Amino acid sequence: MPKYFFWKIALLIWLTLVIVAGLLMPMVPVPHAWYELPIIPALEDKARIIFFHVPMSWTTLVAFIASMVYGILFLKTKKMDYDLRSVSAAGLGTMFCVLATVTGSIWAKFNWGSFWNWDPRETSIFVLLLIYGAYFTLRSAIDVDEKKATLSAVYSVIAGVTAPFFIFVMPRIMTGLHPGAKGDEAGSTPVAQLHMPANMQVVFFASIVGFTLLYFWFFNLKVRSARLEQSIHQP
Amino acid sequence: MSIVLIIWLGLVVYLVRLDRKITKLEDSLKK
Repeated sequence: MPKYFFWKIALLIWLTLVIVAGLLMPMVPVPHAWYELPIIPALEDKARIIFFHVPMSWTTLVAFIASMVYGILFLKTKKMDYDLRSVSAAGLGTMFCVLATVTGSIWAKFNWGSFWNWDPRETSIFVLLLIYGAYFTLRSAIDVDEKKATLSAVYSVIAGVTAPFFIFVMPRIMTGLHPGAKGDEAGSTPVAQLHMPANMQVVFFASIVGFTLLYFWFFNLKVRSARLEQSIHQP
Repeated sequence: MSIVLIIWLGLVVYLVRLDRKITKLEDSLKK
């Protein structure tokens, strides 16, 4: 049986409950029961995206920072296992970044009328995808493993420094459509200052925790399968 | 809602099976 099997099944049940709660808890003008969420004016049902889109963005950041940390560890120790972990984390960060972009685009279609508007938030996430796309391009262009690992590690450190800027800073210092942009500071308060009802906070934080743990499981699987591949090719 | 749950449950099954497969391969390589 896989390690920590029951914890993994518990995590999957946890996330299933988050998905069901996030999509099914009714939104009413004046909540009375614990399972009722308030209607947010102008957003209504579209507000449910907050339970999925924000945790995906958060997980993107966790993954890119992890890639940076493993890059630094590789540069310090020259152990190839750290390079393996760094590229695995970067891959997962890119995957979650794509998911956050897609969920954001779907929400944008319903809220702003089109999938893509070159809003600062959308542009910054696109730039982040380009940065990490270049990371994988760099790796594929180098044949020598040691050189590939060294250059990737340096790149992952620089890219990891830009990630918080593109996710947290740039969208807030420019005017735009996305909640929380310059001139709409109140739009960021549901997340930044937790201006949401207690039951909504429970689902939101349960989703954040669930997605973060899901990332660690994906990471574990990716690293283990990469190590297996290495041991098969280089016995 | 049902589409989201179907996709999620599909991912759940895939993840569990992948984890078990990797564990089996690791165990067989250790022997």
